[in-house]
Amino acid sequence: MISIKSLQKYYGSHHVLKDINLTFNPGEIHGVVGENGAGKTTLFRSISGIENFNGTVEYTKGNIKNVMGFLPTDPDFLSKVTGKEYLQLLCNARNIKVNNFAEKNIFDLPLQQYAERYSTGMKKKLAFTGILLQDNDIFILDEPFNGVDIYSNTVITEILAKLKQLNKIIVLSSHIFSTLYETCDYLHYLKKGSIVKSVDKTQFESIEKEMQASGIKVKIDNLNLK
Amino acid sequence: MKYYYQLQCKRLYRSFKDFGTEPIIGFPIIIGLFYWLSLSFFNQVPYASYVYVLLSTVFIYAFNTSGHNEFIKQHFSTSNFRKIKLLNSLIGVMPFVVFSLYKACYIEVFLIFVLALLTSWGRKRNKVSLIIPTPFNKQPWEFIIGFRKTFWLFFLIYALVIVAIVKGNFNLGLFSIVAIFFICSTYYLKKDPEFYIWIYAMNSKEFLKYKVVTALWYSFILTIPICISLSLFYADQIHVILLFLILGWVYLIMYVFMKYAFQSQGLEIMQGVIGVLCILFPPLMVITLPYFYNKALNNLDLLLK
Repeated sequence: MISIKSLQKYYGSHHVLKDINLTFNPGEIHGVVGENGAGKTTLFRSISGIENFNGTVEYTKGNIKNVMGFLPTDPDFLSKVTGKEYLQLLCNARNIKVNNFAEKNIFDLPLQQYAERYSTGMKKKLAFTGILLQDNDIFILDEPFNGVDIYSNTVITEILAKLKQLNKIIVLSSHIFSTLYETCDYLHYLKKGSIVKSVDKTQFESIEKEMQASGIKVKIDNLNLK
Repeated sequence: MKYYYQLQCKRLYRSFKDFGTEPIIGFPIIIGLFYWLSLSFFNQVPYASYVYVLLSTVFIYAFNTSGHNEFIKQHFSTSNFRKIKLLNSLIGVMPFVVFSLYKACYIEVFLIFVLALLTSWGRKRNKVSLIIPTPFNKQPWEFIIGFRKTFWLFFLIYALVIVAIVKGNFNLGLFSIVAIFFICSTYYLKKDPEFYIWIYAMNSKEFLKYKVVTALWYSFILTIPICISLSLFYADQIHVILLFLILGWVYLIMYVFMKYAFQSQGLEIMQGVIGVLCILFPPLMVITLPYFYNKALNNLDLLLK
């Protein structure tokens, strides 16, 4: 179980995350939604320990970092490293031996090509494959469906179901509500750095409506499109 | 166009700030450094003024990235795009022009302008996707990336070793060992993205040890052909070869530590300056090694808790 208590994050005087309290249990998929800039990525980076923060993130089974797979929104690839070498690097980091990467290449990626030359979706799929090969217990996925083709979206959804079945802890963000309905058990609405609403599957619609009603029409009118 | 150049000035200003210096201090230092390097170049290199012309072209070509060009092309009109490219090339070669004028190399100045003009017309190709095989696949990081960028230099260095043996010039052979370690040290100049450190299930000490062992083993792979060849032909100088090998390793270890000591700042120039000082005066490493080791541990502790 992961317990987040009173998590706060400041960038200088800017209060980015305000008193976040959340609990994630094994076998649950939690979705975090919010507008761009609400603090989702900062929250994920704080949970993973990449960012410093005030408050606590406790994991009952020991050092959280060593069993966590973090999929960033925009995965950063080292130059002149092939897809296979990237996977090798991620496995080395956790001392995991994989003999046949081609066998584990669930998204049929061109592993012999430089990863930096991959398309956005391919990069995401490679990064996702990497953290799957690490045998992690926790998965923090920042917009895993973003930029990925429809077939791969289905594959990711199936993988998430399998991970849930394996009692993994999964936290993800997405702007696509249909995928959240399909994958998540709980949804947390992050607004201006605070969790304003946490609901179970039966009440996802309430968050969707609340987000849609946040003055979209006024903002479009302000653009004065000609 | 005016705003584009205002923005470039702001970027330059921010680069100085990121480097940890005020532009008013940093700018004269860069000018002084450029003057000193150019002067040394003219004093030591044959046909320096003509090679200098080529250097100016290489300089602007290197900064003329395809991504940046595409950005300008997309967002500016065709005529402004051409103007910006030309202006960027002219600004880029200006320091070379000024120094060549100072040296009264007027024909070379004309050549610099012509080449700058041609470079601004030319279209830089996207990076090639040729996968260069390396012996570093097991630990694909600094060496695999660095080797793929500098592999052609190894042909030159190994050729130098052959010349050293054929011409009986042992010092040239030693220079090849130094050159290999110097090239390997440049693999550690670039700061790692935080993610690539965070993923490791190790503490800071284990991580540094892992990095050092990899650096030693992979540099050994690159230097062993030279060491064996030199040992065969200069058997009485094996102790000198070993000394250079060990010094090279210590130097490389310092670079591994330095990479993480400067992790938060990414001070490539500072690393370069300290590196050159340590080549000129190796005992300095007695101080720099433990200092950078401790600084690296402190920085890594933030990510490898």
